[in-house]
Amino acid sequence: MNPSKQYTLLEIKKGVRGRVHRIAGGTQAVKRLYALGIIPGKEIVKVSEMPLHGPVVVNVEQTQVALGFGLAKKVIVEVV
Amino acid sequence: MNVLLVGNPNVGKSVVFSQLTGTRVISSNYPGTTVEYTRGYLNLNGERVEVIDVPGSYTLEPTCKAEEVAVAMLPYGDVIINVVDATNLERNLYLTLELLERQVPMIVALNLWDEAQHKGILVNTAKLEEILGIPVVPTAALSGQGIKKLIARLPEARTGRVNWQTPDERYAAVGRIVREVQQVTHRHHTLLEQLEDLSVMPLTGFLLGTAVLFCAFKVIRFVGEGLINFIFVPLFEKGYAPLLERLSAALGGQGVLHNLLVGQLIDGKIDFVQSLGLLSTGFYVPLAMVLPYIIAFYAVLGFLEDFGYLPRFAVLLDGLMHRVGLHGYAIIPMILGLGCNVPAGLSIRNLESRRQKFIASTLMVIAVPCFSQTAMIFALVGRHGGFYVAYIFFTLFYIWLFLGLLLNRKLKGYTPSLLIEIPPYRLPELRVLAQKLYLRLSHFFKEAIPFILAGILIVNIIHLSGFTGLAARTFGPVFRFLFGLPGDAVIALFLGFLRKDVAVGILAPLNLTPEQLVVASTVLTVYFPCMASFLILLRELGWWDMLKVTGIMLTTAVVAGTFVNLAFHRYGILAWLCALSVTIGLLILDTSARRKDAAVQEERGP
Repeated sequence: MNPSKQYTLLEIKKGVRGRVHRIAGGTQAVKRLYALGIIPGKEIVKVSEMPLHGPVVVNVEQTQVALGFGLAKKVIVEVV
Repeated sequence: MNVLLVGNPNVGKSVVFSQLTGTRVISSNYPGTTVEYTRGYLNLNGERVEVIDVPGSYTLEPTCKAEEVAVAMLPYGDVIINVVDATNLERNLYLTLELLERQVPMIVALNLWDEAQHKGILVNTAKLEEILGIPVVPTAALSGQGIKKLIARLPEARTGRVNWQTPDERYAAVGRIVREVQQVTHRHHTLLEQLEDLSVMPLTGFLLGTAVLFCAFKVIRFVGEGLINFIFVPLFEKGYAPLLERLSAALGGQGVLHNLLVGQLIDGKIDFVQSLGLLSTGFYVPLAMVLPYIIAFYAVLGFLEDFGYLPRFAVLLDGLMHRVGLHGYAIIPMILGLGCNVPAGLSIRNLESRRQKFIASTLMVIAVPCFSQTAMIFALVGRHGGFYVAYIFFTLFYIWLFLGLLLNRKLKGYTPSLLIEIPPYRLPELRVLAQKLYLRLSHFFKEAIPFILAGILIVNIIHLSGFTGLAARTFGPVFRFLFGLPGDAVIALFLGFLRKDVAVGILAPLNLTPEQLVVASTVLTVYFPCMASFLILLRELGWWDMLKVTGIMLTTAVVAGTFVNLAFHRYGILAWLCALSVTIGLLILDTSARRKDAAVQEERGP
């Protein structure tokens, strides 16, 4: 396991609650994720992950958001 | 004065718009239903106020064409009604604060108020008003609650208070406001919410998805056939046929006028499908063959849209869609295209890159038959057995997949990842569904009937002018060689420019074998869109890209038609085995290319 307790959204298990630490991506990715409320400091819960590089579904605030594999890889969370 | 309705996607702007202006627009439960602006008018104390429904946007920095439309509209508003989802205050307020910075008079409609209450979310509107410095009115637009109050307070709209500067400060301000005005009480998950989660889990999601598709198909068949057999056909046979027979007799049973109006008599009788008269086939095709299935299709689609299933479908199919250079959300234009390619062509605006738009338009227009055409295929091909209908749709799906894999390999650029909000499931109200169905049907009537009548008229002119023989002689050799079809079938291709349903319809008098019908239907779907879809795509893609799409369409049509012809008459299952192995080869190439990409990225470091 990672000593700093930081994982990408792909690495954490379904049902795990985490706090967004940072977005390891370009400005476009950051802009799109911020717009949907995936912002550093926010708590999110991973709901599911589709097989074969499919999307990850998370709960953030009152909504559910689906992030494609590529974006999910860029969201770094701290497990709380 | 004009008023803009601005807000995040899927917060109910179009519903508020319909309530304010009485102008009906299509609304659904998924982000990105509205991709263009619509104008309507509201009478405010005797003054005629223009209200504009604007596509949804999360921020004022657009990431797709639909959002660009929204942002480009902003300078034209004297007043903004910011529609805010009360169940989702935090995310919505970001846009609200961005709008406040523009210093345009504004009022907030805190929509979905009823749903927020059910969810145990309480918003202190007085406090919110005080903090923002602008009026805040709770509304539940679907039921019309709060709309009167919104209109009454519209004149109070004013510029608000702005005490932040940078985007970070803006986020901080949102957080502060939410903490002050919102209270959330916990409560147990309802059955619908459990179903929401199950719909996006791998195993249960795919099971539910298959069940939804299966049920949708069964219901469409059941309702469509039911309407045809018990209502529309009896109406034509019992009610309309005797009148037409009297007209036929009065006109002497033959002659130019008779053939134009009533059509050719088949074995001395009027045959609604084959006579090809304006008053016989011209009405029978749109009303008794196509309309029943259109009703059935849009009833089912409307339910799935408003229930909120489509975004979940996008999640399930994201993996597959990436193989063809798209992401899951591109399934929405494909599904809309099954109804009509015109709205589907517009909804492609929700996709982010030019590459995605090109691929999505190409695949949609080539391999997705509209339901008018599908209904005719059911009617003409279906009577030879479900096998042949399934053959057509399997071939089209195969073309879709193969062409997508090929385009994804050949086109430069990459596909951005899927990122969508998944709305909650909502049980649709019958009244709302009926309104939407009515809207879509009236569109069908306006589009379909004139074009079908025009098509029948043109066929008659072609027959009268002796062009049929000429066309059959000219195209006969090519058509027979490539597709195994008689030269007359070329007229169907001509009519396909007008409308696909009538084009399939005029294959009926040609006495084709079921195999020939399969070839002809496939070629008709693929070779070129109808005029209406062509014009929409031309506008969305521009001349250059549309030229490329046209080239791809014509090539695909020739290849696909020849392939199906050969598969039927010469190589049989062997042809399909070859085709499938090529596809599997492409899939393997795609997977290895992806691995390589991932490895390169890994080396470069995070």
